[in-house]
Amino acid sequence: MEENFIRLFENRHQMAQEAHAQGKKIVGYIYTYVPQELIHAAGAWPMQLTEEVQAHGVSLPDHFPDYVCDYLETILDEGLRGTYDYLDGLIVPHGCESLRGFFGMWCMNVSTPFTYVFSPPNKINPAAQEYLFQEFQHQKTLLENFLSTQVTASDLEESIGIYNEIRSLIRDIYSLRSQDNPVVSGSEVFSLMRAGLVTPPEDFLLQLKAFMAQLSSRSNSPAGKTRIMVQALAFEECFSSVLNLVKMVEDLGGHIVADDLNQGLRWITAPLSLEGDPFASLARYYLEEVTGAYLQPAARRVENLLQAATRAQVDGVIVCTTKYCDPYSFELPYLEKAFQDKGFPVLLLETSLSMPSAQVKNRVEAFFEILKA
Amino acid sequence: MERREQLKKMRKEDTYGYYGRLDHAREEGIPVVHCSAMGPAEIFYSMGILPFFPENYVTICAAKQKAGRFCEVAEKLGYSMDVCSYSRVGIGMMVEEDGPLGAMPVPSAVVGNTIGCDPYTKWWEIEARHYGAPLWIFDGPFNYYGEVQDYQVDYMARDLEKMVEFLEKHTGRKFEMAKLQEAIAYLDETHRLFQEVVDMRAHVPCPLGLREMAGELFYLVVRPGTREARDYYALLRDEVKERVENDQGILPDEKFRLIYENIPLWYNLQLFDYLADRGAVIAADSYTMMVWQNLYFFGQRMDPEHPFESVAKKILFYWNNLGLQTRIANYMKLCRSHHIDGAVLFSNRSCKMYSFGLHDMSRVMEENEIPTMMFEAEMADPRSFNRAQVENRIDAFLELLAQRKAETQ
Repeated sequence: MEENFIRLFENRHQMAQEAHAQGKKIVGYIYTYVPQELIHAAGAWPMQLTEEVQAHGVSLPDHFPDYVCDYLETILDEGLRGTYDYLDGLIVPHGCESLRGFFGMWCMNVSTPFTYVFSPPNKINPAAQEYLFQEFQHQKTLLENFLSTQVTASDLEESIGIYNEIRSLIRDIYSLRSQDNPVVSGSEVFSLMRAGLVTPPEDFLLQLKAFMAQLSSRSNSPAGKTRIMVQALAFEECFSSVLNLVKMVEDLGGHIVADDLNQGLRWITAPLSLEGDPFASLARYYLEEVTGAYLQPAARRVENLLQAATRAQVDGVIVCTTKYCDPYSFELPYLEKAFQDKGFPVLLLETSLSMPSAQVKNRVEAFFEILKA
Repeated sequence: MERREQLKKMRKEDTYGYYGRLDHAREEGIPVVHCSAMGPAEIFYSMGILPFFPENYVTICAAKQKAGRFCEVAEKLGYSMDVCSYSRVGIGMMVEEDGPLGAMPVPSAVVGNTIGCDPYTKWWEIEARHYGAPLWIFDGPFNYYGEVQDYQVDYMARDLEKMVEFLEKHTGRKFEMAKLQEAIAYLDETHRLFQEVVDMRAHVPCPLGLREMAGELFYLVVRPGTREARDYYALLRDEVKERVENDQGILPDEKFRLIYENIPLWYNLQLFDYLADRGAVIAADSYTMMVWQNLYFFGQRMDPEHPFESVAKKILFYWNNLGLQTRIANYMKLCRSHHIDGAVLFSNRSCKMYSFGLHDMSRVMEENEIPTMMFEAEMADPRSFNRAQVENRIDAFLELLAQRKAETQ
């Protein structure tokens, strides 16, 4: 099934173009702060924009200077090339200052009919929850107007139900991944999570159920013995055709038992519990459960990572920081010390598309020598 | 005393006075709060708290050619060379307990925010950890379209009120509404007076360029909400008004009127002298006209009757917090109102907030027949600045402008 998940991801644009041609509305988004359930309840397919790592023969005029992460630069590049012409809308959260600049450049240069940018709050308190509730109500109104629809409470409850089922299955798979002699490898988990970003949730749910059925009949463990946690923002930093850190780790006898990907662990830690008004529940969930470096104190994020590493009994931690990612770069010295103080060996990798993978491989090999010693 | 001498005297006394108070704050029991340039200092001053601005201190460090060393200190600690140079210099000074006028004062609390930029959340965490000081990050939304919603202002205003409770707890100073209202009233006057200066720079010849205006920001940035700020800009306004009435330009022979985008190079303000020597005045710029003027550039005002909402709105309209399309549209208005011949765009590796979108800005300007030139550097770290290259580019750019002027005459 891993090949299936990889194919789903690689064919994402073709799949989306076909859906668009059939009249399906597609609203793109970046990062996990965007309320996918709301977009889905409005009748659209929420599809996450992902870094494009395939080199193109012709380079387009620069919009970004070179001091921007590859993630946003390549997404904008694809937008300029027309790759995302199938998008009916794009919602971007203020998750860092680069995203603010990205949104402006996208709006000026890519013809997406509906665009919206918003700021998730960086606090967890009643006022912030009320603010996010109002913000999501505003987004609901905009989506309703754009898509000529009404989003009712029961529409949202239904969408939340689907996403909760997805989250529950992924939590089960994560749990299987971190057991002793796990029946699922890090590569498989990463490939399925990445496919989930770009697949309509109903289809992804079917894929997950089929995968769980397959796992339940597995007895052998495809995983290595050295338990590794990967901290990275996006898959492409560590799991792409340009840099497959996951495969490097597995080839060296390692097994990725935990991750902090913005598109992984952070999104699935808890179910979205419905208490009363589903719109209020949505705001509460996204406030309390879904955060990144910019939107929470380093102390909280690092403590969560330490707890995850301890629970998963990791032998070492690989921290990937995308070049030019400021929020994560600022936290690196603190994070490294925090892990080392708790006895976790740490490998710091600064990643970019232009970095030779041989260089990374050397460093990972050296790290494994330390872990085995 | 002649007005110009009076301005110089006031600035010197107030600057020395401010730093003098910081030096004695600890022994006099005056709490010091480290904050970003967004403060909001008017709230701190109204509570008898002395704000200290590490960024502002970094600009002094850079002007004294001492920034590179502190950058190296931060980089050796593991902070990337790619992050904001204000923060690298600031972290270096903090760790070394040193700076252009001595060590930074130890804070009772640190206040950052999510609105300015990434360092405004993360740098202050680093400071708070280092000093063992309590930290408050005030929150607010990105104002892409330049139109804020009531629920956004309300959230931010209530968050600022909570910040006041935090400050009371950690500084021992009591908040008094009347004092904040007084500070807002002074700030409103201050901004309105400064806006008059901004508007008068449209005069041909330009009475004050960016070189001079960069030195006039002290009160807006460091002393907002004080009577001194209001008094100083009243005098500055009168000075500029007289220059305008007498057609007295800052340059003896003004040949080109330029607009400059981004922060000045604090270690090389002589770049503006290089331009001035060639008859080019920077008659408009976003740094002094829009960043610190925020609401007032858009013809809106703070209201002492609604102080927290006013402070919130002011911050929401900082240049950094506005979307690219809003900024470009207003930039073009400035080009027209201030009779601009060309634009100098500084691609600042240290400030993504300010620099992303410059290529689109350049394209729009060129489409509107305003030639542009771009150069890359950092505003506080001098190590990557290639002076010869930039000056060559300026020479070629001014030749182009001269040619265009000759063709249109």
